[in-house]
Amino acid sequence: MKNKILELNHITKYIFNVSTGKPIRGTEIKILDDVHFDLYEGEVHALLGENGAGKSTLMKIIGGIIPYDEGSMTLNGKEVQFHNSREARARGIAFVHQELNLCTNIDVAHNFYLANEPTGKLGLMKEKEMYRKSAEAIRALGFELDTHTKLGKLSTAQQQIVEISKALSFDSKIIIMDEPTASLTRKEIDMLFSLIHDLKNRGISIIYISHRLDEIQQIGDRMTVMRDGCYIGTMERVNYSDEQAVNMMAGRITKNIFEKEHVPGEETVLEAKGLKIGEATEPLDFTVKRGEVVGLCGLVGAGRTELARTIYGERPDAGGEVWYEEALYQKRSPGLSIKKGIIYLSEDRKIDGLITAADVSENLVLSALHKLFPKGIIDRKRQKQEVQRLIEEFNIKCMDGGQIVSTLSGGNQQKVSLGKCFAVEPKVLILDEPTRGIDVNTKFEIYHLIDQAAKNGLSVLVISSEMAELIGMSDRIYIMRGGTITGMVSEKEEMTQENLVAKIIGV
Amino acid sequence: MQKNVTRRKNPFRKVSGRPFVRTLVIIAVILMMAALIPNFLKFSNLMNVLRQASIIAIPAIGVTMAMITKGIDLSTSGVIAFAPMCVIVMYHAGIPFALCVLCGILTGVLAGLLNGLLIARVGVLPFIATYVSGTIMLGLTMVIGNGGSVTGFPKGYTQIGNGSVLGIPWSNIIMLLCVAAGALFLGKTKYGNRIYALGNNESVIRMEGLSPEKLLIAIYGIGGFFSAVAGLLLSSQLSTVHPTQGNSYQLDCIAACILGGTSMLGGSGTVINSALGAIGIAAMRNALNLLGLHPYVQNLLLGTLIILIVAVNVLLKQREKRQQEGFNIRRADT
Amino acid sequence: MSARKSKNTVLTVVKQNAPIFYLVIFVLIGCLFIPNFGSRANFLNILRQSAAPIISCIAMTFILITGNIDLSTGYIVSLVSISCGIMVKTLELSPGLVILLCLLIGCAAGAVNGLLVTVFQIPSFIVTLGTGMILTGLAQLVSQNTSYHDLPDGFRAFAKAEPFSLPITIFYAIIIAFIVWVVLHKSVFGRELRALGLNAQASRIAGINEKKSVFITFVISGCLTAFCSILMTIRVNCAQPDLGGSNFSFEAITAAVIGGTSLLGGQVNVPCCVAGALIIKCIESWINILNLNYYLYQAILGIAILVALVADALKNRAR
Repeated sequence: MKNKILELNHITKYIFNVSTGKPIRGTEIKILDDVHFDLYEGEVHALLGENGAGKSTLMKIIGGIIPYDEGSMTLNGKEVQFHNSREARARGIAFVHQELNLCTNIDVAHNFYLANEPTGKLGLMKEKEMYRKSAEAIRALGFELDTHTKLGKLSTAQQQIVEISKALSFDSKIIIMDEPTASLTRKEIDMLFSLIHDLKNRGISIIYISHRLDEIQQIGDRMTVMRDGCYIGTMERVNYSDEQAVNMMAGRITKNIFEKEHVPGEETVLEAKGLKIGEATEPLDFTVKRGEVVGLCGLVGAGRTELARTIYGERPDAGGEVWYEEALYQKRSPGLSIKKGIIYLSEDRKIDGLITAADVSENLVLSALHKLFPKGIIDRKRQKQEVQRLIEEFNIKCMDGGQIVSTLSGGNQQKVSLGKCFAVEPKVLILDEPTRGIDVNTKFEIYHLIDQAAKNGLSVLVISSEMAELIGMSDRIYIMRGGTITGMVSEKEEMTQENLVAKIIGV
Repeated sequence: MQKNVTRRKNPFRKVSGRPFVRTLVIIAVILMMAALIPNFLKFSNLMNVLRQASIIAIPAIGVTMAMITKGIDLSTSGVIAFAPMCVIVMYHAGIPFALCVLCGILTGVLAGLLNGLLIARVGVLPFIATYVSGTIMLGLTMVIGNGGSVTGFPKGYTQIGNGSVLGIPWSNIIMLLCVAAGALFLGKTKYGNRIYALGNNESVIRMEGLSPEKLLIAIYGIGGFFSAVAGLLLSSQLSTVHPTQGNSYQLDCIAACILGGTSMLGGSGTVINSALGAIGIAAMRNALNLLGLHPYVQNLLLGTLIILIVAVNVLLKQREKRQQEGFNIRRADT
Repeated sequence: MSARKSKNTVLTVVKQNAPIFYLVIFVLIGCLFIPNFGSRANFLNILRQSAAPIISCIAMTFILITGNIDLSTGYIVSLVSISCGIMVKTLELSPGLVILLCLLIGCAAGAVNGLLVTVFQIPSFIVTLGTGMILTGLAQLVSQNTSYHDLPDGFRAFAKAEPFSLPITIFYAIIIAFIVWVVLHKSVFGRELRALGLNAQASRIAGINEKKSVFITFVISGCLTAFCSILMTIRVNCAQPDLGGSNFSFEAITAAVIGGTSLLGGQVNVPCCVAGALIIKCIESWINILNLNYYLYQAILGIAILVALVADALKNRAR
């Protein structure tokens, strides 16, 4: 009879400031709401969910990276609350991140022993021992690596082996793996799975985060589904079915869906032909018509932002063509795009969507400088006019144009970002997660604004992780996976959350 | 994934790796070209080259470490002037010489720690912080030395800079000792390991519970120490302390590190390679001197060289980054 | 930090233009406590000495706004100075042509810097460290070990005239300061530069051409530096390859930082930069009058900039 080694009950986590770790004042938004999770000795427990479902947050809590606000976490019978990842590691929980926590400029052994280097007399590292023991640790997993190799020269799979064996060297009994197969080949995945079986037999438990249903079926003993920060359910392998999994991940849309009013036009405004966003990705095609809103969905890492930025000209393509208004658009750049009438709303307004240290006016007119002031000199009156117009049109709640953007609420910041896009009077608007971190009312305001603009002939390409949003706004939705477009949905009946989720994860 | 990744058994494995061989080749080329110049291969001249090289190689230890962490140290010339000036001024005031030397070295360390504090705790960019502190020290050197050179070291002191034992100049023995200590520290101690890690991935260092700030402060403190040693050695060679004695060495030091394969972008570089680079730079300067080229004209060549090497380095790194990015957006089911 | 960038209250005006008030304080202290400081002759002297520092400080702010730095300006001065001498004395070109060519040399040097920084994306301090070395070498080569004294009066008149009994150079400085003020505060280009300095990534996405803008700043800086060189050469009446040197850029950076320019980029206030340069020259004047060790001035400058740096870094920590 296997014993339960980890149990989380009624875990709730409120939204917090990522850089300080402190809760954001004045909001009661929960990123985890009454979540339950448990783990038995020697089992592989998979965790499933869409973008933003809360799986990363839950794992960070287990791994000690962030604390939980409410509820309880019990490890081997004792209640625990970790303050950093080292504490968790000392208690036997290791986290193998997607972005491996290793240094590519030093060799395997030195990575293995980083911060725990065995030191001999004279204060020198015991290198012979380091090379030997780390090689042994890797061999114990069934792999052979020359530990003198610089980490950067190893493949991702090999680096992962190093990280896993490093985790085990701390006597970890629980290993959390975050999307471990994201960069692996078929063969490498098989090897990883055989390793996982090995670990299971040794009594080590694994929490396996993934969105790949086929893998989870192969390797998982149980699978838990999360959605919108809530615990949805757990399935045993015997009872597992793809359909049920997708159902649980997608759920039914109980909240209001936006009812769009615009009707798309006929002519094609923007088109991609055989476009490759990376060397190793498949070419893709898509079209956007005048006055049409086209959605783009996919998991994080599918390449949606990369596609948007490639079209916009912020990053280079690896082949293929972009056509705009029946003409080939080559040598793309943001400045040229704006001149032509294409503009892009960045997904992270704090990093590159807005200049948070500057005021509302400066941000609003930033992209439209050449249009508003063709002579090159700034006309304060004209600026004020334009700023007033945009503040009113977008209902931006600020003292005036002189308010520094960093002091605005998230919703209003996003409106400034949107206003900035509209200031150039675009014909094509590319939106990347336009309502991230915004309250429901403001979201609907934004949907309405975009819908109105589409009525007036604006073409929109919108990237979003929120299915309800995409379904409400879009005339058609493209699905992206692995850096290319794998499907499109245009019939209203097909635009259901289950259907889209299934397509996103490749079922 | 290959289950087996082994490297050919290479007897020089510990020291080699491509950077070392590359540096060795470059230095060899420089030396061969220099050998074509009359008088270069004269024993006394070669000794001169090595003596010069030691003044470049010793501060290069600290500069290498700073560059590994994506920083730089532009205060070396200031310390090279200020430390010996303190020593000689104190000596003239009657303080026993040994104590003066100790204090001189201590000022170097303190200056280095100040750099480290500014960079790690206050958040000033490394090149600004060290540039400014270097200038301050230069100014202070001029103040306490009244703007001019100061002589009057005790007998025997100049022997260190100019004399030799068993045919090997003391300068080089000191250089070898310093370089050996530096190489051991950076390459074979846990601190060295963490310094390399810091230059590549700061978040790992933090996750492991280590303090990047403490590492940085230590790095610059050590740099200050070695700059002070170099300064004392130089003054011993010249038997005088001149406020601007360190100026040319500062640029040469950076050039030596870059020539030795230390990247401006951090994460790579070794003390031994930088020392080899120092020999190469010293040889170049010497050879160009013999050819009659004005020091400033030599700077022209040196400047071009630095820019070329850095440009190539940056371009290579960019290409590597682009390849990496392409790799990350691979098809999910291959 | 206040939520708005209001220009209404007296307190915010003072805070944003602090260096100007510091300058006033420095001048007052000098007048009260230092003999002869307040004399007309001394003020004239300070003004005469300030023209080049003001212009070089302004040139440096162009570079600093976008978060770059230029350590080669002193060596541009060297090259332009000696070229000037050759053109005036050996080639005997007309003053107007000489000035034009010198400005072009400055632009060329700036262009090289700009190219290396934008196209090759090498950090500006390494680029300018390297080009500085190259320029000083060039200056030496070009000079063939000679300096040119006693420049012709026709040429010297450019900087030696004294309309209204004030040195003409200070008028040049004021005019240039005014033009730069208009460009930086009132033009689209200036707005773009400030945006780049505050958040380069966001500015790029907003359509600003970073490479072009940064390149232009280096060219402008080179050109203004060349102008400084001409003024300095005329003042010392000697065209030499040693003029300028490493201290030149350091003084310019110090003046800019004291004048409130942030080294991280994005902030600039032209009148304050002028004030910063004047403050430095005031301090220099004090040291001269009091007959203190001149090198104390260097050390004090260093400490002053250190204080300003620490304040700047602490203030910008949130960024």
